[in-house]
Amino acid sequence: MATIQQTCSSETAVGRIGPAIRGERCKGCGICTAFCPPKILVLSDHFNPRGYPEVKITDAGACRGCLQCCLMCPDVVFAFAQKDDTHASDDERE
Amino acid sequence: MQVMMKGNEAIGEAAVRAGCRYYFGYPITPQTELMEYLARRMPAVGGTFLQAESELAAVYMVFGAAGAGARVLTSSSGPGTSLKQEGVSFLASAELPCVIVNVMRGGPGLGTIQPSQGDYFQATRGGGHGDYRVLVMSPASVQEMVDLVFKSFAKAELYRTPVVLLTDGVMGQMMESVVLPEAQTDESAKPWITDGCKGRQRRVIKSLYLDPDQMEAHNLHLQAKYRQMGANEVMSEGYCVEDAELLIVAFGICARVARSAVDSLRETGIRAGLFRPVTLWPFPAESLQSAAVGAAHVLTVEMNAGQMVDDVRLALPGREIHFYGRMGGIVVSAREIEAEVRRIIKGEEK
Amino acid sequence: MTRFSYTPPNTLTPAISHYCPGCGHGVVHRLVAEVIDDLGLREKTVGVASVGCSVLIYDYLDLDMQEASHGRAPAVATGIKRVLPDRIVFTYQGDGDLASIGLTEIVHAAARGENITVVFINNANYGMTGGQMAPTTLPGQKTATSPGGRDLTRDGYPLRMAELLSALDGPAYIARVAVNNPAGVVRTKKSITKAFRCQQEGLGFSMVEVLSACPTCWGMEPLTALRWIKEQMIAYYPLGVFKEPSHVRAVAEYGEEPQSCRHEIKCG
Repeated sequence: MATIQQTCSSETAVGRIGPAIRGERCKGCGICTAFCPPKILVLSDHFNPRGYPEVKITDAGACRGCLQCCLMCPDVVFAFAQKDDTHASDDERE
Repeated sequence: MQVMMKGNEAIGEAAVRAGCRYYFGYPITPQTELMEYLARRMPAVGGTFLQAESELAAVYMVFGAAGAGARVLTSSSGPGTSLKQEGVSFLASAELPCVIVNVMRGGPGLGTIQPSQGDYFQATRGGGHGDYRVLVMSPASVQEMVDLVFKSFAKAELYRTPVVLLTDGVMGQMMESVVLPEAQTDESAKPWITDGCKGRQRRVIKSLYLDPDQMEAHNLHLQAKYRQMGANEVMSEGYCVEDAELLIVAFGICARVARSAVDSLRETGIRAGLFRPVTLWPFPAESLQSAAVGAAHVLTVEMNAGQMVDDVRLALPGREIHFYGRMGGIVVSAREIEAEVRRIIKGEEK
Repeated sequence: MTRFSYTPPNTLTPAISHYCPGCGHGVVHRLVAEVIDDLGLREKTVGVASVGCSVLIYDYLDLDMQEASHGRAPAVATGIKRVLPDRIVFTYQGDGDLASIGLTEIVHAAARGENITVVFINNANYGMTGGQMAPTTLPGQKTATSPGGRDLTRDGYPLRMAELLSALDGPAYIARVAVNNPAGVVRTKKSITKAFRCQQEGLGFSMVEVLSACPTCWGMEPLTALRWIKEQMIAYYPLGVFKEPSHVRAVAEYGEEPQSCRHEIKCG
């Protein structure tokens, strides 16, 4: 594990800022919050236009980029930018 | 090219010559010969024959194939045709062209394998759910079967609609001399098919419209199409109608028999005439009104409990419409029709 | 070189789905779209929608699609594939559609070895109509039409479709997977990939049965629903590959790597 984290911090800016979150798609199912290993996803107090409590990230720096949120989310809320496209991820992030 | 052909087989040959290359069906008497003919003929012309697991599966294979752009045929009788009715409703709503042959047998239920004309209501009123119509064509000879098969495919694609070729077990089994038309290929443009969205927007062929306004709009569109069909596709035939004192109205095999009766009656001085609808939907009401203008009596003859007679009464309101029918798979005889005509005329003269 | 990236697939439309929070359809739609993107099949695929919660799948997949009536998707797919044998044709069906009203059509399409791919969502009930008993409802499971729990003497036994169809000679690839955890989701995508590859190779009928959550009709929170899949469903519906041509296995694992969406972390 340590090796992967070290590689992350030196190699990949994307992993360090966490996923891009499209909160308007979130349905507050909470699945991502359970499967995020560093437990940095929570359902916020903010209700999106569809009336669901949106997911938010509490500590983007702790994101390991494991992509489990992307795997488990039924509503395509999460994305991780391509390796050359760090800035897009910055803009989309909550 | 003139050949002797059995009705069921002539339908199959006509379909192939009309460019049809896909047949899905299930065996049921009295139309199985059509299926077996195409089992041999389709592969011979590079077409596809598939015996489906049921008539229900077959009509949905027709749906998929028509949506993929094929000229496609299915056929059945009685209970099998009933199974297809949900599919016909779906085909009509999704506006998919196809030809559905019903070789009528006695019913209801499992009925009999003998012929009848008991599916008129089902074909013309729509055996399936919802507001839709299908073109219904009724041949009275093996030659006309061939000609109407060609017309059916053409109209199906012109209007993007299912067309029913409604015939019966006698016509399906009878052998007559036919002239077969030249074969044609399917070269129609179909800019609505689902064949993979290469180089274009994707398409969806469906019949679900959950929004009421959209559902109504779709229905209004279908109704407008049916009005067009009603205005342009009516076909009928009159025989000795000009001076008829009694007009017989009959379709399919009954019309064949009635024609003989008309000839016999005329020999004895009774001026009988025959009006034969060729399209059962749209029903040739105006042509019937013209034909019946001079006749003192109108007699509808059918092999059922009285189905087309409803359309005759709708077309000729206020007039007494006589009805003569046989059921049980019994084919009406010319002699019965003549006796009935005499009974009506004698009765009126009392 | 480490790479962490995920972009939603092109074949998925931007529409926000109507599915309930935690519904497995969302995951599986996404996986189907990813596989179609990965294999470059979008422009040569025709999908067949069925009747159930997923009836609106054509709003979520940017593909040519046809909508079949309840249970008849395999027949519609047969019609399409017989006319367009070089296109990829798949159906997406739920429990009632495939295992109840459509049982004849799926068995015969499989028996014919029809070269189509079937994605079968097993969530042990009829979701769209409000949670009635399905042929896949577990013994003792409470549903809207088995309020006292599925009673084997009244209602008989559930159908294990993967096993049932594997007994036929026609199918080339049949697998059962579950989307209840990340490993399951990854395996589901691999299975769907293999199934589509199977069709590409012309090997015959392929089906992936996916155990999926229906939190609303099960009366559970989404996370509880995922646990229920693991604790209850998998016990009755074992995961695994029931039929697989070795050729497909080889192609799927050692063939070309997918380009667009990645779930894998590569450490150099």
